[in-house]
Amino acid sequence: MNSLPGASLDAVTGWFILALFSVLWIALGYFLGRRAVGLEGFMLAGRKVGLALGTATAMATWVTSNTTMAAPQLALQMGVWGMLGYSLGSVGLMLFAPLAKRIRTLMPTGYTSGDFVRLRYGKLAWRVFLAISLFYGFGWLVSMGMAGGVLVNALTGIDYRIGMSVILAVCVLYTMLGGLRAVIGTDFLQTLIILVGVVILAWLAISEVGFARMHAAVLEDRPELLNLLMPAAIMFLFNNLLFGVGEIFHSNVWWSRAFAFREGVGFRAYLVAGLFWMPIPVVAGFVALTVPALGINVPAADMVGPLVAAKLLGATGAVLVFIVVFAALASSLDSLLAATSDLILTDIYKGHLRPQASDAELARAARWVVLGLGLLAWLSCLPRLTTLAELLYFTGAFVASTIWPIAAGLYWRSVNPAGAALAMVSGTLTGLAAYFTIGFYVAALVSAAVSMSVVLLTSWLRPAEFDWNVLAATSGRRK
Amino acid sequence: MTISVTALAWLVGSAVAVTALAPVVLLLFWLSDLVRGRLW
Repeated sequence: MNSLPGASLDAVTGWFILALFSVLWIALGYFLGRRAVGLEGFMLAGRKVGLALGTATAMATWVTSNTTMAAPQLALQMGVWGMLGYSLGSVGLMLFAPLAKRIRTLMPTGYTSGDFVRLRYGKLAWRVFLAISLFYGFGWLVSMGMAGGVLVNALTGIDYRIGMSVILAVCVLYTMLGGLRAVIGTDFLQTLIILVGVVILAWLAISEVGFARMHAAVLEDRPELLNLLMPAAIMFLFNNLLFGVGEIFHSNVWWSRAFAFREGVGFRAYLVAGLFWMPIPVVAGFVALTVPALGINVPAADMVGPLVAAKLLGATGAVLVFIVVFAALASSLDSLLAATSDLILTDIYKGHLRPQASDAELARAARWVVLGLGLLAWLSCLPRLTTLAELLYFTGAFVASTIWPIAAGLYWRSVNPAGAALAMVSGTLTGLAAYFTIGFYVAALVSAAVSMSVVLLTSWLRPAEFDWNVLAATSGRRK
Repeated sequence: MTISVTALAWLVGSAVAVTALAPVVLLLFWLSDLVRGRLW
């Protein structure tokens, strides 16, 4: 994708915005990170994050550039169900609320989601889980990095590699400087920017076009977008729900926050974040329905948001979209860098390579792991491999397979450890088969169904008797 | 089955209203945490 006529800024303005916000995020990250002392301070922000920062970081991390750019794309391709289906991603946040509380109670000194799987199910399931989680985390990281380059290029004309490199470098730098404190602190400001930005754009679309004109034009040009019985869109709706649940239940991005939030905050933070996240895909997505009324030619479906903004607001619209997209990208990239590097540090470096490593050594290594991960992501982003949505839904088969092993493992003593490992492997494989033979919109659905069946069947045939106190053993491993 | 103009307006209108409310609520949370010394 190259610079889009009518939707792009001149490169000078693009560079100015990029530089301004880069300096802001790095300075804020440095300022907040000064108090990130020791391993807990760096990885988990001292475990005392309050409700405001907790809610905002959950919202900001879940609002990715995919939300701001792919929600209009889905509305353009699947109509009303496309944006509603996307908004069901919030169910994952809300369902994670009780899990966050449970995680904090069972593992008051835990560090990663890998800690839970290792202690709960043993090494086999742990390694399967790590393979899925690291593959997904790294895939998401690369997709965000590529999205950064693609969007900067499309919105400003700045070369893909340069834009991608700048955005990745900024996020790596402030995550290295301040760890999770920097990530959560910048997330608060980024959330406010994203929310205000999408509301301004939506308000303009409503006041300029109006619902009656929008509805009539869509009905004439693309009536299927208003059809409430579009089968593929309804399948997408359920698939997206399960994809979101799987992503949140397994990913260390969300577990690290459950460990980092002050006691009693996790439940409320995730619930409120889910409630406020739910309407965002509708707000960001419905602008695509103004395309027929505004007579916009859309050469690339995932750029419909910027095209509508530019049509309604001219250069100001392009500036607004660029700032919102940069905030959305940074808020997700920094979280992925922090959470994935935590997994590499504790579950690979300490868990497999240097079991004798002290907290002081891990605290020093943490910054190098962030840098190394950033460099690896940068190298992987250099070639532009796939579109955002394709990569996103390919990984649905992987993450949905973890829903049952995680959720059941947190509440049921009887879940069979070998069954949990088998559930993740078989769910992933069948989900991938469904992705390639049926379509992207069923991968998570099939994966979750198979994984559930395996967990239930194996736990019924060979029930285990797990001792919950084992999970508290993480404290003994660290001190 | 096609969504009506009224239903579309309600759907989008309420989504915009809730999203517009979110920054206000977040700032109130922030103020409350700050006053009670529970930001971090």
